[in-house]
Amino acid sequence: MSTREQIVMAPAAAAAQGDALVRTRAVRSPILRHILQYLMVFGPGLIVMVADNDAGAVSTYTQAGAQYGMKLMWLMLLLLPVTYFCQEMVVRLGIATGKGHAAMIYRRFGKWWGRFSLVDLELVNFLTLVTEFAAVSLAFSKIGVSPYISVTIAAAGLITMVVTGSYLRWERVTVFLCLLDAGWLIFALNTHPSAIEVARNVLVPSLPEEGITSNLIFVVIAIVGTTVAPWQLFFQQSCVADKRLRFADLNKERLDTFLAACFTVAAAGSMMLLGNVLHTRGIRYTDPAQMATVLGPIYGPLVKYGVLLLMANAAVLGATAISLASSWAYSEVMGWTHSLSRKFSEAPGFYSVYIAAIMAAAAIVLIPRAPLQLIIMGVQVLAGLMLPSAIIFLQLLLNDRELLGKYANKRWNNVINWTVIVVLFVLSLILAAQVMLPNLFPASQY
Amino acid sequence: MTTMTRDREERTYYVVHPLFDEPEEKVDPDKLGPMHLSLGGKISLTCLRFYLILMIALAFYRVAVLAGVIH
Repeated sequence: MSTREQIVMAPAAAAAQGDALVRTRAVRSPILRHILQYLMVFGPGLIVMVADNDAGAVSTYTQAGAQYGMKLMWLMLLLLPVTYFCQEMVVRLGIATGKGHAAMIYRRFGKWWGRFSLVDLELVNFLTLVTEFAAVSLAFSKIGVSPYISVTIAAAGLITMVVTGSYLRWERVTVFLCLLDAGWLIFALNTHPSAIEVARNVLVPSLPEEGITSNLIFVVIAIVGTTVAPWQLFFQQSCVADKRLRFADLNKERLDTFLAACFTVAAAGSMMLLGNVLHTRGIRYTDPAQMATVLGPIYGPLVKYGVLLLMANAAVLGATAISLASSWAYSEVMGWTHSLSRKFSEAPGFYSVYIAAIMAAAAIVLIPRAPLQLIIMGVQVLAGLMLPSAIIFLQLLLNDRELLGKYANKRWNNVINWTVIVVLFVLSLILAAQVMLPNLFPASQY
Repeated sequence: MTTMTRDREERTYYVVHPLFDEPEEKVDPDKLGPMHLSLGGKISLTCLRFYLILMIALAFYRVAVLAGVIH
């Protein structure tokens, strides 16, 4: 045998661990190496992006399409790089420190900001969790399933998929659910939108005919708040840390995040196109489930039931991601063991927070006559208002060269981030002005 | 981590899943303590504090108006 030079220690110990899909592989092709690396690394990016298209997002995007047709689709193209760059920063922070976002804020900015960020996150996340179960209830009610059954089964399923003590098992189930979101694109194509109209509205910013109204401002802020949600920053950083991604995995995880962002924005645009069907036919929009029942007679029962099931799927994805973001954050700050790779007995606090949040949110939804649609839109706006805070901490942490060294932000990162922060503050101040001066903008027909 | 065992005739890559790889040394923020903030950073965070309190109050006010609790 010829002389062999070992560059890095062979992972002999690692080769014995893992199942058939993830055990150490020896390959000769550099291309196959990159593909296998990507397949082993991807997950956190896909999950955080697709879970972002949760119940609130479905409601927001379909409402935007129902009220304004395709006029706001250009916003999605604008938000694509914004959401990618924000998530890319948390990937770097998570890989460099191996810690979650909440822990980083607590350690680097002190107890006041640490507790504020945690309380803010837990509050918004819990309200959002309520909306997820509300969407499950709404979707399955249209299929004829009682909320007491659908919500209970959804809660049980969400708890079961997490408490198995295997990160990989949870990730595989969740990735499968994420890939089902391709259904939105299929149903949108089924409405046969004009490709030229879609392209024009995506590439050329425009305003609806009625101009800037109070409702338009509200919808735009809701879109921004749902596309770049604060919980995403906490979730992906903790997920990256829990998956123990390495410095060598950074580029693959960036690719995972970018491809997922494109997929998510395409799905969001598809939801707008489905809402557009109501707009073109002059049908008043109430909620996504009502939209699905309107689409049924036009495009067939497959579209109706498909949209309802996708709505429920979006809610389940959002619920697991948001609840885990809360559990990870709380456990990190409390110093508890917090890993999906640990059994319940090894991380009781971590799993208990998750289970308690799921059960409490499910219980609230089952209260008769709860104003659920109002909560859905309100949460999106609240998240939009909280977002500048989350982005500012992210910006400060990523410029911490003492902490990150060569992984700190470059100048172009900072230009983009500060632009995003300024725009978010402007939108927030416009909303505040609108609240204080209700006649500042003309009233909308909606 | 991909390892590379170089041979005169062939090269073999070992692709290891991150969950089953040797733990990597990370940056430890506990050793650094609180971040040193410039005067501009402190002013920014103070302004952010007041902004957030104002915005939360306004958001709840708006929701209360929409819900018909406040007229």
